[in-house]
Amino acid sequence: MGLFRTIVKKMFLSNDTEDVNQHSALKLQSYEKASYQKTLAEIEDSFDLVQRSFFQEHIHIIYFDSLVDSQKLEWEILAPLRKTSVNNLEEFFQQSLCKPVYSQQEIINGLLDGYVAMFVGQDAYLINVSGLEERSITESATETVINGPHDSFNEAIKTNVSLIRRRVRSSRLRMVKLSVGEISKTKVLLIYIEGIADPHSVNDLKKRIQAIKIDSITDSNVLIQILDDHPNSPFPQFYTTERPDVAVAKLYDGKIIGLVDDSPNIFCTPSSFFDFFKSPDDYNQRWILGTGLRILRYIALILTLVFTAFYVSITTYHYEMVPQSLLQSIMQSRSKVPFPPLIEAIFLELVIELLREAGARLPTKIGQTIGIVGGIVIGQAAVEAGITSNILIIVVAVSAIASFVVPNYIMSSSIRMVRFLFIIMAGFLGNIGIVFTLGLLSIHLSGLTNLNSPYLMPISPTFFKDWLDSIVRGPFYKIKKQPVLSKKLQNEGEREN
Amino acid sequence: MQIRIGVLIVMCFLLAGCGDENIIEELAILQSVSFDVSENDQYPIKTTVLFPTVSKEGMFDTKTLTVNGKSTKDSFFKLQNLTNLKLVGGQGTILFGEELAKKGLIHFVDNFTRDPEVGTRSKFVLVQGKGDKLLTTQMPDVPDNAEYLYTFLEKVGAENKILNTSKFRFFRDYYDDGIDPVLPVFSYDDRIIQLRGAGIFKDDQYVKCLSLRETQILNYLSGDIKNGGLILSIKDRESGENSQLMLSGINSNNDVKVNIKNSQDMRVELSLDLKGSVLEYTGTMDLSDPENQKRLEKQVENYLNIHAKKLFHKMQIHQADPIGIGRMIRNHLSYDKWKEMKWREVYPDLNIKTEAKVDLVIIGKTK
Repeated sequence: MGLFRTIVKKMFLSNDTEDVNQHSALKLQSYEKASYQKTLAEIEDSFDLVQRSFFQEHIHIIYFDSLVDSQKLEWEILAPLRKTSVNNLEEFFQQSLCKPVYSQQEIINGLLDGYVAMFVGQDAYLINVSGLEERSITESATETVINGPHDSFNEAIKTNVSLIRRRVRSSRLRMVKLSVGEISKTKVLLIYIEGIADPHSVNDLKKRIQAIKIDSITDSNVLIQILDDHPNSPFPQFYTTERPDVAVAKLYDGKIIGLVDDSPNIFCTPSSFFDFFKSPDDYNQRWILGTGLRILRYIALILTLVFTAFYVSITTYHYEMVPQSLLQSIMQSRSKVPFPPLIEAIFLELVIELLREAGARLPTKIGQTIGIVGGIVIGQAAVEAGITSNILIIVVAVSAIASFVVPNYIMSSSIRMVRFLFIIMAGFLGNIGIVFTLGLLSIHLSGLTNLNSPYLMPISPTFFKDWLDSIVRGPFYKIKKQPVLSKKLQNEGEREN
Repeated sequence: MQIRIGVLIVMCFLLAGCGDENIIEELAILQSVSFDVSENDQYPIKTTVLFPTVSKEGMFDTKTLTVNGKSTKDSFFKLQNLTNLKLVGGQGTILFGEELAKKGLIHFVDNFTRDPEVGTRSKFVLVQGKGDKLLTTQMPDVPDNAEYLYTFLEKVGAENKILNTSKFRFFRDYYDDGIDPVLPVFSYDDRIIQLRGAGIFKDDQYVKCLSLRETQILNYLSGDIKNGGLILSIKDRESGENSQLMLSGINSNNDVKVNIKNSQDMRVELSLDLKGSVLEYTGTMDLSDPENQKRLEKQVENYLNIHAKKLFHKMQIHQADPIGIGRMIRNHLSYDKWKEMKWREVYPDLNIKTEAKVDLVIIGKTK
């Protein structure tokens, strides 16, 4: 009880102080007027800083060479300035994209975004000539499809927005611009379609992002971990993708997507456990095939979680479950192994994880080596040396392959992690351990939420109509345009308004 | 606080340890067990077990052990001391020698109902002669007698409903009123494992082994059969010629009518509706002629009626009721009346009639 009280007290206290701080910051800002000297003093010692003066120091411009497009700079500012005279400055301001600025903070932010700051006497202006270097739009390396669009997001937020914009030709597309990180000032853009997305969720997400107190974020995957309702769960709660077609599909489903500058991954919310098992390929094929693929993935999920654990529990406790005809080969393969099945299984699983991690870290040029080493060492030598049994190798390999069937890499890693818990419990308690862990897992999963929306969405709480596009991939004439819950929330919102 | 609870839970699992582990290669999983009468008076039951073993080099082999004991569990206790492996039960076959089965089985197999190590699907088999001989005799081209017998039984069970045996069925038939167990009988003469027919029981005592022909008919009398076969030799009354007939793809419907006036006058009428196609016919009749077909159908009906009558007679003499005629009658009586009636005394004189109706659906291509 005491603990609880102190926590509550702390929460209230911290809220109070925050308010005061914000208030004073606002006051300070409004008083600090922009000036050339102050700006120079604040960003001195920058290698890429350029300052120029025109008309006998009547006009000063400052910009970062690395952030502006030099061609644009020439066209927009330098050339017009050369043509005009001091007396004709009015004309210049009329035709260029000048934006008058008053506060010092705004000038600095603008400069860091690639604007040119121009000082004319006491007045300050920002002119947008930004041009950042960016990667071209390439095929996604982590989420590949066989049929369907092949473009993927890159690190530039503007390019990413254009990829979305050109797929949603609607005036209802809304964007909320936010910024995260005291130092990094990373741009975060929330995109949703008005009338489909739940306005409460948008507000909620906005508030949450604004409340983040952190120096910097490097990627959207960092941001979503800060936003998570349950940061200590092994499972990813925000669905991330680098495919614009998936992002747009989520928008049409009434979800909110978030873009983070400098990150090719967008996140979307509210997302459920089953979103991680969808692939655009499901929709681009006939619905019967799509459904088959979905079911295959759920089988893969169960195989990954339970298969090795099942081997351990059967060979350690439940010999009765082995059919007579299989008994011989299991006994034969186990006979040379000196370790109990649990140790044997954990050893082999660790080796597979090592191989996978090594494959992910190695430069692609020597990546093949890993395959050969792994294939020979595990495939043959381990069995011949009598360290592991043949059947276990098959079991572990099948469950490893099954784990790669899960389309989302982060989810697949989480599942592989959880698998170890299953194996250990199977080693201690046999099948009871497996069932116990399955129970724990389902309790945990059904307790998770993403932006206050349940994680196991169409199953618990149950919306049978949504099963058609989550558990299976139903034919398009059967799939409802929007998930039931999002429609419900929307109707409620309309009534409230 | 959470961490402390977490540690506590983890500790619980660690303390649980691995006490009753059964690691598969350290077990002697019984594939087959046989029980016989021993020559020793003090230890009357001779138990032989067969289990697979794998050497460190990965060579697969089977091992048999034999002891005389006072009871089945006494024998298992003794057997534990004869091997370095842990002896555990399995889903295998359990064999009974002829001599032991004739004395009655229930007193010493009764413990199997309590023992979870003997699976409900483990198969019970009778052996003509000694059960252990069937397990220990080296048969040509059979590397593992127990496994061979197991697959043999699976095949037999699939072909004949009546011979589909298991521990579950044996005990159900034994403990149920008005039905007796049936087990398949095997022999090992000339070093060949051979199916001899159905062994019928009076309560738990093995009384008679029915021949394969009789077993075939018993199978059709005991219930509806899908896709069965029937081989019969028929004699034409007019021409006096003997011919062989094989029917296949038989779908039969079996219906029992019970007529009870009082406990003395009971009639059981068993109607058998059989539809099948002719596969082999060695007689001279031209089957494409509908008249001849009808005649053949009549002949088969006669054959079935006569042989069923003989079979019932035989079973009534031995007081064995594998079909469960008693159960049908019981279903038509109140419990008090059934208890009052002494079924064992009524059964031998019961009037049982069989009415077969045969329909040859396909006679095949002729001429």
